[in-house]
Amino acid sequence: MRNFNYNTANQSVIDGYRVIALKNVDIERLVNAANMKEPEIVAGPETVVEPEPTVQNVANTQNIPNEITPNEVVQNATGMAYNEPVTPVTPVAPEVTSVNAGDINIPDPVVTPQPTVSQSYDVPQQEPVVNDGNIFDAPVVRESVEPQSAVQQEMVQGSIESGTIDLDEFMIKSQEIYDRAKSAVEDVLVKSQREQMNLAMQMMKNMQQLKADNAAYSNAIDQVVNDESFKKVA
Amino acid sequence: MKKITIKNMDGTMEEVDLINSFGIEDINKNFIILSKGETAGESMSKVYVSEVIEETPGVYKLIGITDETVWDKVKQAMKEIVQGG
Repeated sequence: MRNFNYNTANQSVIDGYRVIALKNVDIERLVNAANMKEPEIVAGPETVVEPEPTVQNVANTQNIPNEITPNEVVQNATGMAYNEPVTPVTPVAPEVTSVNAGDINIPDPVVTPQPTVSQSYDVPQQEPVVNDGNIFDAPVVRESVEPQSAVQQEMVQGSIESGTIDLDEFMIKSQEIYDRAKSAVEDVLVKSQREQMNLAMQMMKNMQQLKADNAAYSNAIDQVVNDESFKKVA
Repeated sequence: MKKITIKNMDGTMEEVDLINSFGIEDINKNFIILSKGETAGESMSKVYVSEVIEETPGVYKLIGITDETVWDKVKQAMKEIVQGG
């Protein structure tokens, strides 16, 4: 967009237009923007503005420095110094030109050996701890644990009661629990084997009894068949 | 608000309000927004937008904007003016 100021003195003939509806507030902004525009420069003779001469040394030609260094003393017309900076006087010790040997017994300074600081330290390398997602290596808190076995129940109770578990005590308890569980399993196995043996023995006895019964029954049939009286009847 | 006198197509002279005038650089055209003080609904007014062509020195012709591309540019320019651009 460029600046274009329509000169109100122009003669204008309207030949076409577009009609639109604008908000009054927007029209006001358009008017204000037009009023704020700089007037268009009409082509004409160029006005050359001579720069005003720089005023230098109006009353008296003096070389007045633009900057005054702190140590500089500026004097006024009467020669009196003002704004004179106060220079502190530093006492200077007399220079020693020569020292007679033996006059002053200055002991050699005792140099205390500084402890040697090793630049390297043996830092034990730690194996990265890999856990199951617990990046802060914090103890896993279980909100609810339902014991499924005697071993697990005892472990959970132990952790709840003591809070911190003595490793030795824990190992002993674990061993005891393991032994008890092993003993229980063995008891069940032995009992089961014994029952199976008894059952097998009973089955063998039954079979023998059945066999004996069959033999007796067979003999009884033979006796009936070979009975003379039976033959007569037949 | 400045007032200008325009000559209508029927030859009659009419004094209207000069809302704004601006130019669009890339199409090298100048435009003018005029008002006759006509309302167009609540808090709105009717304005007339025309392209300004200088036929002879000091005599301008205000013509309608028929090219939609040009009209889009005009609307964009008006928005920029309203928004203070």
